[in-house]
Amino acid sequence: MRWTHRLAVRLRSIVARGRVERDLAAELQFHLDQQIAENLARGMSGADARAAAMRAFGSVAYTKEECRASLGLRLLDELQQDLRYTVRGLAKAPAFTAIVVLTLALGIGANTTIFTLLDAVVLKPLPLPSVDELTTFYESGPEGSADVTGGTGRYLRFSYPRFKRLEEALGSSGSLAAVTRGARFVVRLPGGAQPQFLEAQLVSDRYFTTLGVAAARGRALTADDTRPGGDALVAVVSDGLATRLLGGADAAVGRSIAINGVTVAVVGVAPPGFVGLWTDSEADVWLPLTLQQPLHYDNNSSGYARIDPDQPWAEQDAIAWLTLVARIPRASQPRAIAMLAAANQQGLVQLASLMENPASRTPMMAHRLVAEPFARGFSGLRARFADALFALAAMVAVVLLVTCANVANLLLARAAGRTRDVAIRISLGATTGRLVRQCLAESLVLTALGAAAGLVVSRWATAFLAREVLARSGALPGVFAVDGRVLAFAAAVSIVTAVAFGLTPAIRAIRSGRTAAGSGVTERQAIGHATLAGMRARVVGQLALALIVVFAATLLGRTLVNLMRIDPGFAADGLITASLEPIVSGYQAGDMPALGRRLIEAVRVVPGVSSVAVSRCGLIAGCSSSSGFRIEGIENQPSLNENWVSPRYFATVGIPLVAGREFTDADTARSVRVAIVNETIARRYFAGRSPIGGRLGTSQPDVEIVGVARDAHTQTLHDPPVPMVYFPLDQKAPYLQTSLTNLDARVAGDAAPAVAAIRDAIGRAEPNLLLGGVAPMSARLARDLARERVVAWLAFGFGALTLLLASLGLYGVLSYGVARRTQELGVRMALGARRIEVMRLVLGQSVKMTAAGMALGIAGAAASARYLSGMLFGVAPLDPSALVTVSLGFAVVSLLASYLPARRATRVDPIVALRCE
Amino acid sequence: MGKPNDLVQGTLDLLVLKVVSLEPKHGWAIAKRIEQISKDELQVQQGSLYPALYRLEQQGWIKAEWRATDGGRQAKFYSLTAPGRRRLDTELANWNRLSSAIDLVMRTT
Repeated sequence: MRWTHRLAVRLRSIVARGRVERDLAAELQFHLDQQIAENLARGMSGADARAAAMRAFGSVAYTKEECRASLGLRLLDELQQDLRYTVRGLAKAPAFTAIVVLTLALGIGANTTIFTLLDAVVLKPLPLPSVDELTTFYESGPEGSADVTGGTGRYLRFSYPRFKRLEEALGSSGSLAAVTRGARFVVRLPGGAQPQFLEAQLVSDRYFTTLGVAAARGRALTADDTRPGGDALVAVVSDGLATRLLGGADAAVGRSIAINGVTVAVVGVAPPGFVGLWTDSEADVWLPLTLQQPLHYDNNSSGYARIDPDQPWAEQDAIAWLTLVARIPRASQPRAIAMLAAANQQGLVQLASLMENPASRTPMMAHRLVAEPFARGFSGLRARFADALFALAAMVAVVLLVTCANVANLLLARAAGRTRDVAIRISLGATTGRLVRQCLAESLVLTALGAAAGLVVSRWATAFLAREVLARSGALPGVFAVDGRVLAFAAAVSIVTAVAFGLTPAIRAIRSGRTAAGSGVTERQAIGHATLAGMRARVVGQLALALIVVFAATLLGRTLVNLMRIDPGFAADGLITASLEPIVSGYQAGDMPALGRRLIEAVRVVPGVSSVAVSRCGLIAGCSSSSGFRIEGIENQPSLNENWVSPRYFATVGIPLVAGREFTDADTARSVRVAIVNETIARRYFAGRSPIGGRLGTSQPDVEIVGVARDAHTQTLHDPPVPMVYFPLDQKAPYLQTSLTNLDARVAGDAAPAVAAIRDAIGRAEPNLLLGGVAPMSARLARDLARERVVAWLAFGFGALTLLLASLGLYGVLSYGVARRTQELGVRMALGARRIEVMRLVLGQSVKMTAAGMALGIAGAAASARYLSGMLFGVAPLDPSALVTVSLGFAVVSLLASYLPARRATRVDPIVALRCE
Repeated sequence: MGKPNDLVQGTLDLLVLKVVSLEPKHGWAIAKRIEQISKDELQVQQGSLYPALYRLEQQGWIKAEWRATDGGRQAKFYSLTAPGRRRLDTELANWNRLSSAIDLVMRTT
């Protein structure tokens, strides 16, 4: 009660400051007037009465000040004074201010940017209630462990019957949900707008309840929606989709949309911000799992035994296509997970009994269910970028340290000029606390300006980088938005920064001011040797840190260059690729060979195109297919990557054949079945002899090998070529659920007009065929190296920045040292010291600091480089040549930074120097 | 008679509360009243009166309002609040205990 009253009075006096001041003045004036009146009544003259009244009252200003203190206004006034003083001081030194603010903006901006990315990709939990209760599952098998990035790994997925078995085993101990990896579906709205590609996921009935997400409008899915054979044509859509395309959340419920040609009713809208479980992409539509067949969902599945992909997957135990997420209260998690593991083991026994090859049964039964905490959701980006982002976070932290050291030195040099000012204040009775507060006010103002500029830089940089790491244009997932966490981080970094670089100069300024106040010594003497030693130590630290960052940047840069220099094994120059989406466009699996022929005919006549081919999977397109193969004369059943390609494929993409022949128009569905293998297969399974004439196949080795192609990086430049077998598109067994996703065209001359012409030609020939994109092959290669490019360029930027800051620091301290020693240098010159000797004096300082910094830096680089080893390609973490290059570079930069101060030292005029004090 | 006594630290608050407990008064009148009642024994430092008034107002023990004096000028009148009256009672009790204790010591030794 009492304190609320006090607070109210305080707030009122702050808000109504003008009135408080007027009242105060009027009240005191009234008092004085009364006194004067009394004095006059006693017979004093007018002037005497006034003087006596003033005397009796004492200092009006002081009384007012005390009254303000009673109201709690004084602290505010002092703060205001400090700020005004600071702003005035900074405005008088615009160059200093600009340099400091810019430096801080870069330091804080870089840290905020990397934190935003790190938070979005690695740290931030899913926006769901009690995320620590969520668990996901995968199987680890003798063939290797799962890729836990959410749906691309083979063993992450489960069949529908297995999911139901686990759901039953879990019973009431928790809630289990199944979800497919999001796939791009074609969505058409009633009213005939352009069809759109949207990310949709098939989910089990308890998906939303398991996650703890209630529909914002309408309802979530129910058990009725997902009853096998029920085919309930319903969907839940995201708030974003409802707003963008369906006229808002309220209007969306009840509308019909066509998804992959199936018309479904929107029964619910998810709450705003819920975009599924993958943090690097945003799902817009959730559909019942039972719509798999009508929707032609065929992404991300593994077949473990004979399967029929054209029959509903929900009935087939050998098709693994579901990712599982469970919500189990923390206390019962161990028991529940043990129960699930036991149930899964029974499921594996069942699955093994379906396998044709008895040799594969034992490894299947050796699989184990593994539970993973799921608070942060799935992210393909996390697996690719977590290491890189942590490395970059360490680098920006170093950048900020170097920044702080630099600003601290700048402030120290500035504080030296202020010694007299501080001395006067101390003499007038300023308290230490007040002086420190004032100095800190300066660093806070500088940091606030730097942080504001840094946030602007960061917003722009974050959007740019997020686009680069996602390798796409268009809207970013909301997870990359600047939110409260990011702002809190920026604020915390700024405050720590302000204190880190502001406190030492503040204390130093006060101490030297106190000395000066006591003894009347001059500024130059007051700033003391200890301060200069501190400045030098900071410069040595800066140089060491800069060397570490520059060295890391060198290694990462070499990695990028090495990867860019890799021969992909095909001729990327002059190759244009088009991604095709025939299945979702309504084509049937059996149409593919004919569609391929029509596309080739259409594109072949485009001017400049010399050769065209189509294939199941494109190069470096994130498309792969593999099966267990039997090879004649080989005991075990190796897993080989496979691709189905049209005639002249190898000539078009530029993969040379080292033996045998290319597929031709004569290789048709009715001719002898043929295959081409790559060199890796030839080397591994046909040691010494030619594979030509050999045979292989999935169930029986009944396909004849007619050619051997050179190894190529078909999946990614990072990994060595995989064993690859090619089949003619026309000879694709009809039961193999494969689409035709890629067209390659070789063009002569300029790529840009050819890209447009090819898109037009395809559009004219197949108006219903949706295209994922038409682009030069170089774009795909660039995307494949997105991580290395982003990391290398950022590291380069941070390295350049730290080096620049460190050399500025070196320059500053040397200049300051020369200025301090002007008198001494003058005496030396007067006594006949030669210029070269004076120069050596200054350069000696520089060499000492540089050598110390480099020694520390090399030690630091040696200690930290191993953390980078996972990100390097073709260069060792402690590559000696890189170390030598960086060290030489540092020596040169340090010489450059020392040259000006050294030259200035030689120009000291003895007469002027001796006169100057 | 020597120099008028400076007020003992902390007693000014008590005196102010007591003086305004009878009727609302402005600062000048409060100072005058204290001096008058104490027969000029207690001299209020005019400079320290106003910070004390602001402090007491901030504590919620007295409240202020502007109104006209007998002479027709506007002045800021202070009056006691209910919490202020309770405060005055406690302070007064404390003071009585303290002064009679001192008195006792003075008389017996």
